[in-house]
Amino acid sequence: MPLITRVYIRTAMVAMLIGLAGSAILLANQTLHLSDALWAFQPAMYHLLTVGWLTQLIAGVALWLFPPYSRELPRGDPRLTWTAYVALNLGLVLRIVAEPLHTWHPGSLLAYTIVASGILQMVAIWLIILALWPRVRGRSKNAIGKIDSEQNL
Amino acid sequence: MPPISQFLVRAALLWLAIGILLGTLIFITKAGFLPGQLLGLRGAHGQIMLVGWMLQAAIGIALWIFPRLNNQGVPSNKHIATIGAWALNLGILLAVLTQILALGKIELPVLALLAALLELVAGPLLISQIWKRTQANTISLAK
Repeated sequence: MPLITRVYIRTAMVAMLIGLAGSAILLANQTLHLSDALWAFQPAMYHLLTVGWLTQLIAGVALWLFPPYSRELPRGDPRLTWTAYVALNLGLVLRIVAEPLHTWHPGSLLAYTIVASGILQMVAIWLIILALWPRVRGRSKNAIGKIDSEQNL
Repeated sequence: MPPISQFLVRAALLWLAIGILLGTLIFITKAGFLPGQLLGLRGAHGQIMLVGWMLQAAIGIALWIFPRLNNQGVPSNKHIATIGAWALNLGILLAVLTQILALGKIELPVLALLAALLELVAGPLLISQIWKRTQANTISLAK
């Protein structure tokens, strides 16, 4: 398993753990009425589970399993996938911090942080798509005429 | 990767690109920079991300990597898989269109019903191509 995949999958698992813990607290809040302020975290927790966990996991596995881009760069341009990784997770962290804060104390700095978080995540996803798109293909032959890999069948 | 998986994975990536754009617009709206009307797109965003992206990518990859049945291609029935794939994507498209039109106060319940029916039909058609392939590995590790 390549480094980029390990990093994506491990970060996805961290996101899942935080998302699950947060969702469990929100679930407890439904019956224990700990604090109404906690509900401000709800969209961010869903987002952690769907983007931080599922989408990042799928991207990590796809970067590993999809047919290679080329012999020299089997996983395509690493700058794309690493930039996407940083942007996605920076965007996620900014969202988890800024969204609840903006709900409690709306302010322009927090509003701009929310916008930045959204744009970072959007750019990250588009970069991941850019990296994966050319690798969605059928059986291909490399320069020496051998099938690239068994998974390419 | 068989052509049906290529179709499903590419469609999933396209929906992901659209879904994240909608999500970002909704998020910017929540920050107060865009008209509040756009919050009405949350349903479309959810539909695209859950069905168009995650479900479709999962089925596309499953069709590719699940164990293959003897003497059968992938998918075992190309017509059923193709109809399923088109029904799913047309269903999502109509569902999203319905919700976008609803923002402009244009209610088209027939379109919404058709979208629901298409997605309802697509599920069993696609699953029928994967179901039998979820099986134990019969090849001995010693060989």
